[in-house]
Amino acid sequence: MKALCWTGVNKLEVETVDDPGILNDQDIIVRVLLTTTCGSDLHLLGGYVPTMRAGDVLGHEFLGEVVETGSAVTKHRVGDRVVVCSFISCGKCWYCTNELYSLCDNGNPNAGIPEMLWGQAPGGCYGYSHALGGWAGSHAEYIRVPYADQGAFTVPEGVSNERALFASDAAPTGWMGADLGGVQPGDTVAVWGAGGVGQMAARGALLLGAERVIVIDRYQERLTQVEQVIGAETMNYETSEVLGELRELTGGRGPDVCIEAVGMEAHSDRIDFAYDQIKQQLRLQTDRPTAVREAIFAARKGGSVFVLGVFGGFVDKFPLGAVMNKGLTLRSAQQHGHRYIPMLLERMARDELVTEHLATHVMPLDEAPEGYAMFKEKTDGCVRAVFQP
Amino acid sequence: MGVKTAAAVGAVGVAVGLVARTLVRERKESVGDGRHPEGWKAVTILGDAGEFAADGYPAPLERLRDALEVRIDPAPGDKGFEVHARVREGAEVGDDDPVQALRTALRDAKQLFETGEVLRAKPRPHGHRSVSLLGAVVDKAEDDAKGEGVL
Repeated sequence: MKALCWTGVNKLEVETVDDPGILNDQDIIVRVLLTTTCGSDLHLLGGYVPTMRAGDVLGHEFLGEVVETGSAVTKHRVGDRVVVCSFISCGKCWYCTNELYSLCDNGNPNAGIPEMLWGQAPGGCYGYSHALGGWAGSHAEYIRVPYADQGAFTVPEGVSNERALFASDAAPTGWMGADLGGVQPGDTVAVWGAGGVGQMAARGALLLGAERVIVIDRYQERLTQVEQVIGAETMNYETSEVLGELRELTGGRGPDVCIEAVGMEAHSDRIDFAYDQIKQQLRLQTDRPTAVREAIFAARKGGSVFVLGVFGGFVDKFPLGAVMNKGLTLRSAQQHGHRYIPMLLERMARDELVTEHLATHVMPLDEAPEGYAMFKEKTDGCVRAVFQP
Repeated sequence: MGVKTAAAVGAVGVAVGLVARTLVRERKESVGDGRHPEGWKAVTILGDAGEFAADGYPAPLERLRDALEVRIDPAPGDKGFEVHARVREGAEVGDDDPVQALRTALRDAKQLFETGEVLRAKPRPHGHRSVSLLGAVVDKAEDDAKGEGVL
């Protein structure tokens, strides 16, 4: 089959690779119908995650059709249209039974690697380095889905592929930020990043009852989507003084909940961005926490900050003093998607959650290297490049 | 700074971090605290401890039984039970490194008991695996992953 492979830092090729097969009784094989780029893939592409291997198949956010089932699979049959959570979770361990699915004890066969990096191992993730299991990704014609009764969800009739695709990752990740960030009716919420995840966090906050939601970015086409599709307010950080304007918008308090949806390659026009960039390029810190810092300074006293953006290692000048003295609640997680995907699909069916506008560029898998280039450089208003294998 | 140089510097940084982490871990392990003296490894498993040991341990752990001391304790709250094990003094585990074999057996026994299967990761689709130092490091890390870590 054809698959998009990472071949080195900032290098991608469509190669012919072996088809996946059923290896465990709880597996299914899915013919991929749509698979999308995600901002966190850029960290892999750029070499910021050191456990990538030339030849790895990328992609973790996808939707497809079941073409083969293992003998222990009970929920799915050949022909089912399914969206698959990007994280691989068994559904049986203590973490899964407590709805902390991305922390599954059993979804990552390479647990020893992240244990050495982080002290404990999260679950596995498709196409997301050997630290998260080395699983082959979804930018391919077919993909093996382990623990399929847990991780694959049948798409309701009437929900389009283009909409349901984002129930795989962007929508549950964003929703989790709003939910676990503690958004309450009447809250003011600020979201850093107007990509797919940031937009979904903003929509989630509104649906959970937030009175005002402000999304911060520098790409006007993304901010326009936020205003026209998501229904939130926007702030362009290249033309606004973010902290001052957030204070003014909130009567001097600051947002109740701040959601960071940017990650380790944050940009800013502030001086600390230059500092972070130099330190990251010299490998004196692995990640750029520029947006996290701003979120912490912006949050109201006693408020909460949720870090949705992906980080891999260590950061410098982390304002722990502000966290402590302002009494902030700081939370983070990879997505616990299994907890939200059925509810999100229902909301998609009721048109409460619209996502297809994110797929600004849909193209064949053969053109995936060009699609990634557009997505990385944000050219032609690209929000997400989506591939049809 | 070129990409290759940056990648090499990054690899060295990661390697230094892992070495430092290993040194810290070995120092901690050598201290012991009475309850977890040197050599004990443990996993916490959700389920009924009686079933875990009803007809012998799950196969991955049962295979090493003669070489191991095993202790099963209830875990606090709703977390199930703890399986503690260590390799007996002087015992051999085939050609394998005993500690790596123990970690692997504990991880697999937990997974088999909780989920009904041991997840197979390979074979899996992949493109051309070019030969490189960093690639060799990743391959080795993956080959050893179940037997390594902080377990």
